Amino acid sequence: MKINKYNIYLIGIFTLLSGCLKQEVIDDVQLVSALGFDLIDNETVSLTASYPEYLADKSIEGHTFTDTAPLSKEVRKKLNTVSSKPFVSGKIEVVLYSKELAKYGMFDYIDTLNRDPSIGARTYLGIVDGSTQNLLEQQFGQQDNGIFLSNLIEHEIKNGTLPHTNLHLFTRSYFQEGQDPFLPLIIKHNSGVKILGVALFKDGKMVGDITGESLFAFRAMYQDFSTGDSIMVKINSSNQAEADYASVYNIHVKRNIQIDKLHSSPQITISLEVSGAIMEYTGDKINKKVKENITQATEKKLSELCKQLMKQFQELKIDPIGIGAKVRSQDRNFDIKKWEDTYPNIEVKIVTKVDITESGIIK
Amino acid sequence: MREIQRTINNNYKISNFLVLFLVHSIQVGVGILGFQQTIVGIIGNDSWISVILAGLLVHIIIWMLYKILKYGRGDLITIQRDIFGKWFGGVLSFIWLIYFTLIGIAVLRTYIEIVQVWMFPNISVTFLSFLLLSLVYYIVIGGFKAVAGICFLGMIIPLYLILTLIFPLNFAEFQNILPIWNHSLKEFAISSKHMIISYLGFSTLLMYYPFIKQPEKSQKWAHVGTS
Amino acid sequence: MNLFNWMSKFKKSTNHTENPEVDATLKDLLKQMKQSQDFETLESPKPEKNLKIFYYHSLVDVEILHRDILPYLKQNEINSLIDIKKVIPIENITITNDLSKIEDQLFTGSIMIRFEENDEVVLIRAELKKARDVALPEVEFSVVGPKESFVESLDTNINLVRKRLPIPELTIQQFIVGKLSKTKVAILSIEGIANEENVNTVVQRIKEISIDNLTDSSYVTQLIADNPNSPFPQLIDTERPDRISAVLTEGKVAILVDGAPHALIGPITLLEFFSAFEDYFLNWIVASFFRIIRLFAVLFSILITPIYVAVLTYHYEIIPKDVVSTLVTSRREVPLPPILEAIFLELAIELLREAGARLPTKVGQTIGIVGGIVIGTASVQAGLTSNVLLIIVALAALASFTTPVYQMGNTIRLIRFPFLFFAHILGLLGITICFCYILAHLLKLTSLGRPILEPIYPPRITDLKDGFIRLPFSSQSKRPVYLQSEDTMKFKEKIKKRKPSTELDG
Repeated sequence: MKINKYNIYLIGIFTLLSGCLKQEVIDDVQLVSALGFDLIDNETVSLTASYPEYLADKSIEGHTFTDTAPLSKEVRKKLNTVSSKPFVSGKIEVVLYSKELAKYGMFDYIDTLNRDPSIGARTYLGIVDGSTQNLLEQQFGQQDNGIFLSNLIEHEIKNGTLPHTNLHLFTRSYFQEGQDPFLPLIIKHNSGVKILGVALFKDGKMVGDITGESLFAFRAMYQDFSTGDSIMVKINSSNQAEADYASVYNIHVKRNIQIDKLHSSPQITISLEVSGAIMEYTGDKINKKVKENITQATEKKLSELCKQLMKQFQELKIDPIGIGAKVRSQDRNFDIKKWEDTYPNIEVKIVTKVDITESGIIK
Repeated sequence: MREIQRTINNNYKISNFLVLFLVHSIQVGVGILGFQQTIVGIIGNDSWISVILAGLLVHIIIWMLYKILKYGRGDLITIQRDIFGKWFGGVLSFIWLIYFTLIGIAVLRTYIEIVQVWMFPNISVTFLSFLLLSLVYYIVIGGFKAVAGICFLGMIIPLYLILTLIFPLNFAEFQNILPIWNHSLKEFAISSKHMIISYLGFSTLLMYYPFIKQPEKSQKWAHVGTS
Repeated sequence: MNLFNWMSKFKKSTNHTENPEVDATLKDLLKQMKQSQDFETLESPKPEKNLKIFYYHSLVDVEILHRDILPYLKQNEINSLIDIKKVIPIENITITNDLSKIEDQLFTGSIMIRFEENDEVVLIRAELKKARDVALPEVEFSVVGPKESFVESLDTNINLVRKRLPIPELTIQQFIVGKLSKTKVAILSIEGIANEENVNTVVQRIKEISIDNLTDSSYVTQLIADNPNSPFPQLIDTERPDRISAVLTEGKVAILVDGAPHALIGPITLLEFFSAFEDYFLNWIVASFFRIIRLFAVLFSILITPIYVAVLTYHYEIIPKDVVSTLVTSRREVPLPPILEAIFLELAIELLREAGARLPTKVGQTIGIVGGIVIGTASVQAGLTSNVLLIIVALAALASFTTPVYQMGNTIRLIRFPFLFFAHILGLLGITICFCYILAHLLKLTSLGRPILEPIYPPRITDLKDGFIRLPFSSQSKRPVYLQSEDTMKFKEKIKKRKPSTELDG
């Protein structure tokens, strides 16, 4: 038959050409799981690659390799000369940059990630307060370093107060008119790591950070979210001597940005609707009045935090919340230059509304 | 010209609603992976308008094509021979032949390029195009019904891919389509022109028209396929 | 044209016996037959009449001869063949001088009596009936439903079908196929329901068969298939008479072959290969669930090992980060590339299955279990394969056994290998291309001229009621469109159910 002859021809071609593709068999490559960039001097950066070795007893041993080069791909060449297997970047989970490098300007080293199709857009980025090499050389428990760090960030986003961030979101807010990017700020903490807060960027350079309780306020202004995290408020009870503390947890936040008087003197209103439950209260009993107090105290605390943040942003002339982008979408003749001039002096009003849905089970 | 229509056995004809899939599958090609970049580059957030605008234009053209085909009752080659005579009609058909060949080559090359960029950077072009062309050959020798069948299944089977479109929607910002209409008419025209490139291919309708069982009724399906 | 050819061929084959010198050839025939040890010649009980009795004692029930023939010949005055016909109390007696008929009858268990030197003979049917009893279906066993299955005897099989369809419209056309085996082939269809075209196609193709020895119905499948070079079967074989009667009422055509305990059904669609007849005995929700599971199992069985090979060879990026360590650890000791590892295990499974199928049931089972456990564990420990792949291959093999039609199961096991090959060359892209090839092939494939991918392509929404899922009987009132039945309605569409009165008396 005609088709049969044809098939034999095909098989012949296959066998001839089957060697032409580069195979990357999973156990014949060295899967890099985390990268760290440190600034050495104005010309060179050092790159630390962390890769796991899977041992026979199913435990994982972390290894790192560090070298310096002006470009990260250059380092990969050097990496291959020391390893028995070729290094591949397809399983990079986390890329870390030292604070020094971030302040110096690091967008070139993010751009190289974007250009590599094997690096996913959901790779987490992070800024390390200190040396990334030190951080990656440490072994965090039984897990591989890259997976540990990415799980840490993922869990902070899901259940904590860290706003959504990854390579894709960073690049998008970097290029978007009227928004500035931010990244999580990590610090080595005893034998582990800790997420401090977020690092704020302007044109690819780190210009500030948000830590502590302000992080909650920042996330509330940045996006709607639900978190298992709690916010603690101090309540001045009747006797001034001892203050009571309450913590509100299981919080849902709905935010809304409203822009008035777009063309004359823009006025921004950020309204936050927060609902949560009382988990801890150091006072005696939660009655209606106490509940009212807690609600008010939370509202007050939240709007203060937000106002502080806005002040910080306007002083730094950055806009991580994306108010500018919001304005652009409503203004047909948006001019980014003009907006950048007006932004630091714009009036931002914060309206918070707290709703305590339950006050715990009281027996 | 009438002989052609008579000589095509009913067994080789396809139901008229399959035109939907034929028109659709030739439009949703590799173009769909690239057009966003081009037109966003020109008019940014108003891109979606030019997408729709180009679509409307295509509708008008399809309507015109059907007018021609209904009048001519045959495929493009017979119509041209009827109107322009054997020689000039033949030359025109030859031009069409080159046009379709070029479209085919362009699609094939773009497809291979996508594979090269995303999967195998060092795959041999000869090898992959040989593989794909032999697949195409295998389908085509099965007759027009098999071609229509592949178009149909090629649209039905990847339907689950819609699920994968939902994930990026997590990151979608719907405010980005606002404000509407802040670009000049010229910009719209240019971007629509670029958009139409990815819609191209519906002119193959001119060739397979006689293979449709009730060609007159298939027009609405062609329109549905475009939208 | 072909029909005519066949007819003339048939004539040629019989011509040499139809010689004008009848006596001489009958003598020749008898002489030829006497060379066989089981051909008996009896002199007449009354020597003066010159009666002679001929038969094959291996084909004839000798008891009939002694009880119903010989005593009557002795007691009565016999002067002519007509007399014999009159006195013997057996209804199936023919008087003939047609040599081909004589030969035929002698070989199917008749006793021949003739006067010396006469060209006319009497043929009395006394065939020895030795057939297996109707037994439980083995291949298509179902817990619920009828438990009869076809046997090797065509008459018994037709009886099993006729019993279920006691209507005159059930027509049975018989043909003799096979130059040497002279196998009876019966084509069953219901007049007025089955499309004439389909029946004629089958009749024409059966008549066209040119083969010397037709042993089984599977020969017929291969001989009349639309595309004999396709790995996919194009007719379903079944051993259930209830299934045959059910498909006949749908408008399909059935083919029964003498000596074959399996009947053939056509035209069929691809989806029917994955629907067990048991589906019709279960509640439609349950049945649909099982059917979907089965279809999923088929895809799983074909694709899972190639995907393993493709992902491990080219696309480590898409492995979820939590699975990477499991995969890498399991492949740590394995020196083979994934493709060799997979082919090694797939071949091992095929070997086990082949060995199990060739051996007696009990030994086969032991081989299966021992082989599966011992070889599996040992090859993992020896570092020839990873245990993840072992699980995958075992599951894939298990999934391939869920296909109700055995022939289709074989095909599925076979087409896994081209997928593996493509996966090794081009990764997931290769799997996609191979899948496209299979799709294109299926698109072109027909069963008795009807597209096999129906109702998926050409899309017929009404036929989907018995495709991926099986809707309740009340919605199955129409016969499948692709059969182009002459009577499209199976029954009246709406059934009114009487509800018992719930009011209490008094």
